[in-house]
Amino acid sequence: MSRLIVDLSRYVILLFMVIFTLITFSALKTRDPYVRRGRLGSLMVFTVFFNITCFAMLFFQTFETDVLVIFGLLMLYIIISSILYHVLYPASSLLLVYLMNMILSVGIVIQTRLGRETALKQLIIACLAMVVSLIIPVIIRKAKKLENMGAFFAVVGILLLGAVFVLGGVFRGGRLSIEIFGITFQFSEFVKITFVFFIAAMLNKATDFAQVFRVTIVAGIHVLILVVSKDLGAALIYFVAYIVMVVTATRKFRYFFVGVGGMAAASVAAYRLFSHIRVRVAVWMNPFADYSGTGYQIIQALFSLCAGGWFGTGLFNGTPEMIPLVRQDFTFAAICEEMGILFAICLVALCLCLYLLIVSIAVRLEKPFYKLIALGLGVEYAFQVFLTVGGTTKFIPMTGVTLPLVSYGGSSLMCTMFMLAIVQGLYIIRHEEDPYEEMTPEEMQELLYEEELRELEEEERQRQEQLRRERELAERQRRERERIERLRQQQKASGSTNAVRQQSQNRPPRQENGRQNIDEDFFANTKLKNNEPRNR
Amino acid sequence: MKDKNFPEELNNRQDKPVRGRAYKAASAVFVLIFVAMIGYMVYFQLRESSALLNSPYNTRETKTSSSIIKGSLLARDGRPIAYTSVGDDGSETRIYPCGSLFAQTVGYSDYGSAGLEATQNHLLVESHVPVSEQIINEARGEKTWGDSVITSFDLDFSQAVYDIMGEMRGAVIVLDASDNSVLANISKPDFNPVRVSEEWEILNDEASGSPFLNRALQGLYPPGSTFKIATALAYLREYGSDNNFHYTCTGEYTCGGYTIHCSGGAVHGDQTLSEAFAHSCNCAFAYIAAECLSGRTLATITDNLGFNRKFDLALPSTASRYSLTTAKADGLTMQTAIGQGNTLMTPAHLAMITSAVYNRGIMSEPNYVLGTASYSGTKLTDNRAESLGRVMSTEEAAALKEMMRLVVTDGTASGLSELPYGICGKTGTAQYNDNPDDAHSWFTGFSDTGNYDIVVTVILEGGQETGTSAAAVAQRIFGTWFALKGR
Repeated sequence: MSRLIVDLSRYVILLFMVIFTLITFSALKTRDPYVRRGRLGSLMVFTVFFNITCFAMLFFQTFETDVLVIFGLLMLYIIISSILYHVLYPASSLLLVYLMNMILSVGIVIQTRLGRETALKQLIIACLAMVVSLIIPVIIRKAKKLENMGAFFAVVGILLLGAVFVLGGVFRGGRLSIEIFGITFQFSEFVKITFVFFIAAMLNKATDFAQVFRVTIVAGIHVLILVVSKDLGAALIYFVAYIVMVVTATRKFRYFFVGVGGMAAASVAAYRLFSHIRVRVAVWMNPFADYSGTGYQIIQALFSLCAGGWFGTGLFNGTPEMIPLVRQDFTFAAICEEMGILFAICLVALCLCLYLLIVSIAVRLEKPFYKLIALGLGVEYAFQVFLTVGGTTKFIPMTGVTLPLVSYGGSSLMCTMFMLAIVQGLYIIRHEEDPYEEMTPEEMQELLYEEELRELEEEERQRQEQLRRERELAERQRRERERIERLRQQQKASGSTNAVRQQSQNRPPRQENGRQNIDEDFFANTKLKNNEPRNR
Repeated sequence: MKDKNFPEELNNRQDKPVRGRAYKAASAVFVLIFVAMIGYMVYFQLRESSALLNSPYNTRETKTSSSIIKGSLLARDGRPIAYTSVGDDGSETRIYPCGSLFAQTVGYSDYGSAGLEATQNHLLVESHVPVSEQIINEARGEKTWGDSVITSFDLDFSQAVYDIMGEMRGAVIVLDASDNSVLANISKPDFNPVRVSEEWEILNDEASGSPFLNRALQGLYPPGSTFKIATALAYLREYGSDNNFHYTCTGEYTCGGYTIHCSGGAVHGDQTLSEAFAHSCNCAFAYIAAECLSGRTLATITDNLGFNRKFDLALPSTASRYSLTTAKADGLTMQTAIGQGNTLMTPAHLAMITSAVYNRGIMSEPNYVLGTASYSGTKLTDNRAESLGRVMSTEEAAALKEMMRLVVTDGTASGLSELPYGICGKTGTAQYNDNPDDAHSWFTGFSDTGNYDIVVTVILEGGQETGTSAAAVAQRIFGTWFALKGR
């Protein structure tokens, strides 16, 4: 009988997840603010239902009080965080809060399945991070000078990454973490935030080539330290965030192609230089070539992926613990096995929703500095999800980054929550400045449309400007031609035409005589170069 | 890029917060990536997951083992040859009622798994019991029975062949000549599938003679005189017919400084191709390879016949080996022509070639699985032997059949002429080292009555020592088969 309950509850869990995903999508799209409020309320309800079902399943299979403790704490966390945002920041995006809480719940459920202690630790970190998160909007409002602190962020980022590289303990072949007072910090997670702030601050000042070049140098140093520290995943995340931010700030898509080209070249170089990258690619192409060695982890993950089928084995019915490091790197495989591929697809869709939500928030923000920050943080989040999910499913080579909010890892969890809190903070500030603005995607579409219109107008204006300048130029040329004509006539009148012709044939024209040799070619050149006339 | 000559306000235009298109693009790119990834997950689940689930490396329990009892393997008449017994306490035991009869073919699923138990596992742990019944079972807390796999084995006949083999080392494979399904596949020595884990050490000991090896599919033996089927086919291919072949055997043939002897010091005298084949005249076939065939013919023929090719069977198999690419007048060529040299064959492959002669030149793979049925006995799927197409012309097949008939009526397998089943065949003696007494005994052949015909291939390791020839074993097998069929 208990098996029937477990069997049924996995369908119920899947059902809640599917409904939650659908509501999230529709909430992203809906127009009517009242319907929207209602849908947001139902999101909260389904998060609670989901957790009750999952933890009931977990409890009936273990009968451990730990599970109940975690459940209670998680419920408190979800409810209190929602209420606090509601009360303290009525202008906040509740969709962002609920979405984060749902993804976090999935993480806590699977961590509880894999190990009660780590789940509790994870949850406590989440609670602490939430407390800090609630202060972040205030900090952002007070700190008006953030956009002038680009250099500061650059120095902090490089110092932290460098410190990890120099002092950090070697863990699994990569220098990823540093230990302070017994707590292990993974600075590459924290630097993700300063990195985005740095790029946003720099590109907020200017977007000319020299500035982009400066940004590229500093970003390159970040990425290089990470590559040398063998933190390939983080290096890729930084790089992609950098490209997207540069392209967005400059509005020059050619930077995108340059960036992708550079990435390809760098990848080839890294492949040649570093044996651990070659190993990863080889494992990706054929994990069975070295079954018991390098391929073991990914093969176990793939077995896990298949073992559950569409609906999963149900919690505690699978054997995800056969995957080495399942709590950190392969949480997603464990979710696939025990909760099913369909559930996992919903989870990926929710991550995508979170990203789309962040981008839409970025669009709504007023200050370009804030817009860039929101977009950069969103891209970092989405690309990290892509790296870990793609790596687990062998869609791309494994890079060993965590699934944000889901995998076990204090630094990762904390930083992701801070990132989301920053986006939330920016949204709150914008919203408080303009309390009537409750924008739906259609309105946002309109906004985007207007922006495009403005862009087009801008281009039109530039075109007009160009035309005007060309006309001016033509005018000047005409005047010049007339002047020369007059000069020629004067020379003719004075009867020295022959002398001039001789001069021009026998020796190169000197400066003072240059004007006399001006012909149609000169005008053609001037026009091509589009320069102002020299004698301005 | 900054242009010094541009008015200042134009240079600053890029700092305005109007970047709608870039945000749209940033959203679209990631939506695309995520959709591709989800698509890949679906594809992976649909197309690649069953291969991984059945991977020999996969040691975890399959997704259904918690709710489905592994189904049975059945003989072709429906009697179980491997099934799961559920005790009162719900414990499951795998039962092998035939003991070691199907040791290497059906295999075991204890201490790892092997044979059909391993390769057909994914069919056994599926269930096609009606969904309503499955739900009722779930509600009662009972497990659902998995599907059954119907093997090609004839239980009584296999038992008889097993008894005929007794303690002799070697292998027998018997195919139904009409559809190439495997009626019996016996490999000796064998083991008891129930006691694998207890006897693991002993069974893996060198002295036990590799009991896990299915000699019919995986044993590589020098083909000896049975290879003359291929040499004769090469001659027919090259000349279109026997071309009034004549050769006078003096008991030895020397060419290129190498001498071939007929076995047992026999002197056969004047021989046609059929007579040389029937009497297994080594000198005549060495002469054919050295002087009659062009360099590539034998290599082409063996390639056609499937040497060096691994067949995709329900059980693990090994490819036969042939390495002589160009025939010339030297010792190795002559050796190869009479089945010594570097050529190695599996009994199953020889049975396939023999079956091709019976089937007018069409060769098929041996088939071990006839289909699946649900627990209640409803037939679910059918499985047929994979045809490999034509490997010899109808005329060539007819000529070979005639020669193989002469082997029985007036040749090395004359013992079989007592049986009224029109048996055609070829014997062989394959030396496996320099001592002429250390030889395996081969027989391959088929009955030709038009009804219940079978292909029998027998190898007895060190057949000379045991005092019985493979042909004598085959004679008893043919007799038993037709006796069982009431004829």
